Order: sequence, then C-alpha cells, then structure tokens
Amino acid sequence: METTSYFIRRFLLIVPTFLGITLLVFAVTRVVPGGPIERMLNEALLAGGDRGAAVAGPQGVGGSALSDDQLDQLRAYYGFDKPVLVSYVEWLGKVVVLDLGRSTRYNEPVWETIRDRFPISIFYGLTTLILTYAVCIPLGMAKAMRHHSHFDNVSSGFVFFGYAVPSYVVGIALLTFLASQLEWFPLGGFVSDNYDQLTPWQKVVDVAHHAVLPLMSYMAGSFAVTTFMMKNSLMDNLSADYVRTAIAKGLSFRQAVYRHALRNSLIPIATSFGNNISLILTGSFLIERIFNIDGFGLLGFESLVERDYPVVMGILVISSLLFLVGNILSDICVAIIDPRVKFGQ
Amino acid sequence: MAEPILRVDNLCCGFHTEDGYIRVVDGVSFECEAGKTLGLVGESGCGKTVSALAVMGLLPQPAGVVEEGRILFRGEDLASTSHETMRVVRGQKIGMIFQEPMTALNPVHRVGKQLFEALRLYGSGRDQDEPAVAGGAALGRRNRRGRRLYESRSEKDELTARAVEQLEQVGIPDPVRRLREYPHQLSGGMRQRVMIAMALAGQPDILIADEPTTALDVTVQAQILDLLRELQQARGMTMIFITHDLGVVAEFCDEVLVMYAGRIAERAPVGQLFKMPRHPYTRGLIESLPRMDTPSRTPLNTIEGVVPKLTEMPAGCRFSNRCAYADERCGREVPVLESCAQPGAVGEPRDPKRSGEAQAAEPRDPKRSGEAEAAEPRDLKRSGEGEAAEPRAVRHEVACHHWQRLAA
Ligand SMILES: Nc1ncnc2c1ncn2[C@@H]1O[C@H](COP(=O)(O)OP(=O)(O)O)[C@@H](O)[C@H]1O
Ligand SMILES: Nc1ncnc2c1ncn2[C@@H]1O[C@H](COP(=O)(O)OP(=O)(O)O)[C@@H](O)[C@H]1O
Ligand code: SF4
Ligand SMILES: [Mg+2]
Ligand SMILES: [Mg+2]
Repeated sequence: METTSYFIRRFLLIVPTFLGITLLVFAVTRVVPGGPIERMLNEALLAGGDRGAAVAGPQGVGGSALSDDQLDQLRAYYGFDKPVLVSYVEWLGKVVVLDLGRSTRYNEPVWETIRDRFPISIFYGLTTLILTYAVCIPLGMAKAMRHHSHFDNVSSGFVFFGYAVPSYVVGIALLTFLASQLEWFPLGGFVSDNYDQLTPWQKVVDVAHHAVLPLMSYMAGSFAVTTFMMKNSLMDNLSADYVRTAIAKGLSFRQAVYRHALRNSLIPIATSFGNNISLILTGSFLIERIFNIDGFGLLGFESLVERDYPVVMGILVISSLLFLVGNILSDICVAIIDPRVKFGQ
Repeated sequence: MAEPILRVDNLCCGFHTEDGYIRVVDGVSFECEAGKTLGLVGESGCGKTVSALAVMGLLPQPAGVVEEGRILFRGEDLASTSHETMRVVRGQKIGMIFQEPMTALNPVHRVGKQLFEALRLYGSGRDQDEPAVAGGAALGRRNRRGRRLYESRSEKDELTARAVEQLEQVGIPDPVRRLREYPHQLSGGMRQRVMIAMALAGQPDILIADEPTTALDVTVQAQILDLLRELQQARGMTMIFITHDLGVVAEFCDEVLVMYAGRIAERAPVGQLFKMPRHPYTRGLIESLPRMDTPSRTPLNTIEGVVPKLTEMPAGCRFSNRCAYADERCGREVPVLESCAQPGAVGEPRDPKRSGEAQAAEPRDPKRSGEAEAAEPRDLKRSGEGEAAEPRAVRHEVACHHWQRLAA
C-alpha cells in the first residue's frame, strides 16, 4: 500500500514537470525567426545600417532563407502577436493535441513528419538499450567478481577503447572494413531495396543484417559507462557489511552476491536508466548520417540545416517529453529496487 | 580439563594493501572453554575484529589472508577446511554479531525475508521429533510453475512462526509486524536484536559478539548486554566477547585476552586480571578506569603516547614506545607469553560454585547471577575468598620481559 501511494504521488508530479518543460520549450520559440528577438535584431539592423549585419552574423536576417509567407505562418502558430501568457496557453493547447505546426520543408504537419521516423528510431533505440543492459550488467558483474583478473584487465582494455574512440569514428571504421572492403554487411539503410518481395523470415534477417553495424556504433559509447557503473557499484556492495552478514549466516559467496549485493548494486543503474532512454531514442545524427538511417537524429540535423524551425521545435517538444517519461520509468525502477525510496527516506 | 571447543594456535593474518603486505594479527593463540565467555580487549585497531573474522573465514577477499596458524573447532582446522564445511560452521556452529547494526542488515530486504533465509538454511534441525516440513533441501526446489515450494501456505506459516519465536526470544515487541518492516524502520537497538536473533537461529555452539553495543546508546547498551547474558545462560553457549570496555569485561567474561597492536599482551581469568594485572599495558588500562573509591575530580590516569603505525612498529615489544618499564632489551627482543601465576595460586575467580557442584540438569547455574556476580568482579580488592572446593591452577600468562617488577 505504501507502494501504491508512492506511485500515485509520483504520477501526480508529472503535471508540474510537464508544465515546466513546456514553459522552457516555449521560451525557446521566442527566439526562432519571426519571433521577438529577430524583430529586435531587424530593427537594430535598419537603424544601424551595415554595422548591424556583422552583429547579426551569417545566420541573421540578411541571409534569411524563409519567405515572408513562412514567417507569417510561424508568427501565427506561436502567437507572437498576442500577450505571452495567452500565446503560451494557446500553444500548449495545440501541443497537447499533437498540433506542432507545419514543416516548411515538407509542407506537411510536423507531427506526421516526426511520426514517420518513429518506427526506425524506436527500433534502434530500444534494441541498443536492451543490448546495452543485457551485455553491460552481466559483464560488469563478472568483472566485479573477478576484479584484477586476466579477464577483467583484458575486457577493460576493449571497453575503454570503445569509450575513447568517438562513436561516429567507430561507425566509419566498421563501414569501411566490414561493409565496404569485406562486404559482410550492407553499406547502409534500414532495409534492402527488394524488401517488399521478401518472405517474413527473410525480412527479419534483412533488418537484422542492416542493424548490426549501426548498433555496434551506438553501443560503443554507452557501453563503457554502464559496464563500469555496474562493476563499481557491485564492488562497493560486495564489501558492504550486509554481505558479510549474509556469508556469516552460512550462505555461499555466490548466493550472497545474487541474493543480496546484486539488487543493491542495481540502484545506480536504475537511476541512470531514464537518461539513457531519452538519449538513445533521440538517436545520434552522425551515426544515422553515416549509415543512412532515416531516424530522429538525422531529421533534427537536416531540419536545423534547412531552417525547418517547426520540425526542430517539434523534436525538442517530443524529446523533452521522452525525457519526462524516461525519468518516471527510472523512478519507478528505483522504487521497486529500493524500499527506502517509497518510505520517503 | 575438557578439550576446549575452540583452540586458536599462533594465528597470523594480514592484508595485501597498496603499500604491500601488512601483518595485523601476529601469533595470537587462545582457547575457548565450552559454556564460558572469553573476552577480547584492546584499543581500537589492535586486531580484535580481524582475529574474529579469521575464525569465521570472513576476512575480506582477496586482500585478507590467514598466513599461518590453526583454528581448531572441535579438533577440525577451520583455516584449512573446505568451503562446504565452512558454510555449515558459519551460522550453525559459530554465529557472529557485528559492531554496526545500521549496516549489517540488507537495506532492500524485509527483516522477515532475511530471517527466513537463515531459518531455511538451517532446516528443521531444532526439533528432531517434528516432521521436517521446512527441510532445507526440499525448500530450494521449485515446482512446475517455477514458484518456490516454500511459498505454499503451511511452510510460510511455519517459517513465520519460527521467526516470530526467534524475535520474541530477543525481546522484540510486536514481532509479526517487525517481520514486514525494512531495516531502516527499526532503531539501532532493534536492529541489533534482529542480528542476535539471526545469529542464534542456527543454534550455534559459539557466539562471537564483536563490540555488539559500541554503536548503541547507553541505556540500549545495557539492555543488549542483559539480553546476551540471559541467552547465554539459557543455552549454555560459549561466547567470544570483543570489546574495548573493561567495565563490560568485568561484568561479562570468565577469561580475558588483552591484545595490543596485533599481539596478545596478557591472558588471565577475569578476577585475576583486575586483582593483579601483570602487563604494563593492562595495568594502564585498569588504572585509567574511573573508580568509585577515589576522591572525585582526581584526573584519570591515561596511557601516554599512541599506538605506532603497523609499518612503524618497534622491533621488540610493540608497547616499548609507551612503556614506563621499557629498557634496551624491550626494544630488541619480542617478549613471549609466559606463565606468571603465583605458585600455589588456585581457584576459579568467577563462578566459584560451579566446579564444586554437580552441574547435571542445567548448563548454567541461574542462582549465580544474584550473589556472586554483582559483588565480585567489580570489587577488585576482594582476595582469595570463595575458592572452589576442588582447587585448580590459575592460568595467568603475560608477554613482558619485566613483569616481575610489576608483581613486586
Ligand atoms: N580490509 C583491510 N585492509 C587493510 N587493513 C585492514 C583491513 N581491515 C582491518 N585492517 C587493519 O587491521 C588492523 C586491525 O583492525 P581491526 O581488527 O578491525 O581492529 P579492532 O581491534 O578495532 O577490531 C587495523 O590496523 C586496520 O587498519
Ligand atoms: N523511516 C522510518 N520509518 C518508520 N519508523 C521509523 C523510521 N525511522 C525511525 N523510525 C522509528 O522511530 C523511532 C526512533 O528512531 P530513531 O530516532 O532513529 O532512534 P534513535 O534515538 O536511536 O536515534 C524508532 O522506534 C524507529 O523504529
Ligand atoms: S616488554 Fe614489558 S617492560 Fe618491556 S616495553 Fe614491553 S611491556 Fe614494557
Ligand atoms: Mg573492531
Ligand atoms: Mg539514531
């Protein structure tokens, strides 16, 4: 019953957090082109002549790629002509029903543009997440229990190497050797061109075949952090008094680890879980670019380059919400593991 | 004399650290007589806990090592025995309670779960007549749906009943509710009671109590000490009582081992130790106790100086940098433990009635607590009265080159 009341309290917290996040995002809309900041710059430019152009820089008004028509659309959507509070409430009303404006590049609702990328992003995000935890937790445990052994030292070498090299470099290296030279894997994309003609089993194999290299690149970075977090956390708990108590009762070392130390050592892992969810779902535009994957990361990058501001803002809203959801999931996991949380300690 | 239940012989242990290997327990030997309490005293860091952990095979791995020495429990050497044997010894032959009740219980499991785990491990050994409902081996199995068999109603009830009984024995009120609580919901004293209940669940022959009251406040300390005394008397249990508090030693122990910097300084029956301490360190400890018969506001005696670091120990006697009697030989030659009992000194200072009377029915004489105990160990001036009917040599040993000078 303490558990239920804790979760109810936690879910009620969603409302103020959601409002806080939307306020922050809304504040950002005030600086997009056509917004008050740009208007101020514009006025400064007109007043100061050429001198202002240097201040505004290459991204400034002088080089604005947006037509008057598009700027008008932006102004209408964000309600720049209304008082701040009114336009925030109106904008919030639109966000809640997923009306995120129209993409200037594709000339379709932002939500539809984003929605089309969801399957790919969720596929890569969740697979990376699951694989990371499925590998890092057992690996961290094995390393902690055999601290300073041969196995521990050698695996640390590999993990650190993966951590030190940026993930896009890993991606390029994998692509060059395993795809381009050895031709073991396809050069990119999510599925093959003849995907529609494949049998269901072949489709699965095809997706998996395309996914191997990008997944390895995604995992290279987060791998080290999670593995070492697990290792250190378990090592701390192995030397804790309650593990000694468990062994003094007559449990074997393994039993003491699995029944006592393990659950305690998962607390920091569960705490960082929320962060990982949102980071991984929003992807990495570099990896997506290298492997030509049409995910969130690439969409965000291209929209920024093309100044498709409604899409950029839409992605900001969606990833903020993912962050919110991730944190709730994280809190729930921590509360399940650690009873002290539920009792307000 | 009967064979001691536990004999530790020349125990040396230490730790591998970043600065290399450091020996922290150096040639410690002692025996525990069944049903008696052996006190282990000495200031913080002198190796009391490490010695006890070595007996339990619980030194932190892989840093902690038992270099040499034998730990004979009923004749079997625990220092060289198998892991399987040690698992039975721990909990069911030798139980241990620790100094820090706040961290000794797992914070994420309910008290009940932790107690059940111990009870399950020990099976139904308690009542041989009872059918083995909760037999250890059967409990580990799972049925087809993957649920553990002990989840079934009757076995869970049986475990709960036994756990409640355990908690009642250690004086925990409302035990059924406590079983559902987490350690952080209990006060320090209650947690230590849970630890005691858990350590006694396996009916161990020996209980090692490592400063069980140091982390508790004074009133709770007294309660826990009383509880331990009652439990020991009721069960005829052997105890190793580790403390740095000589007052507790006087009240609690039959025999005392004084440790200094990883070595034994002196061992003696408790009355003998207070009556005629032979080692300068022991004497310092006793003189630094506040006494009732000195005028108030007299400054307490303290031992000058500090214990040297383990890496900077004097070559000979480790106490030589603080000892008023130290000479050149002390700095050179390690003193060995030798008998210093007065010739003809006889009698068991504590529990005088015991050796005489037939102790058939009860393992411990409950009458004892009334008369002998209250007056005896505290009243240090009391001399040879109450000698046992059957005289027995006093075993008093000291590791000091110049103990005769103190005796004079
Ligand atoms: N895990 C460890 N690693 C290194 N040294 C240790 C470790 N545990 C204890 N020691 C050292 O062993 C010595 C004895 O410690 P201990 O037995 O805990 O003392 P106490 O008599 O207070 O119980 C101390 O000097 C301590 O520094
Ligand atoms: N988080 C908690 N939940 C429920 N009861 C608690 C909690 N913390 C302490 N208590 C209870 O409050 C009482 C006082 O605890 P505490 O203040 O920790 O005692 P102490 O005087 O030893 O510091 C104890 O009976 C304990 O069981
Ligand atoms: S041997 Fe005895 S007299 Fe010499 S230093 Fe040690 S305790 Fe003092
Ligand atoms: Mg200690
Ligand atoms: Mg307190």
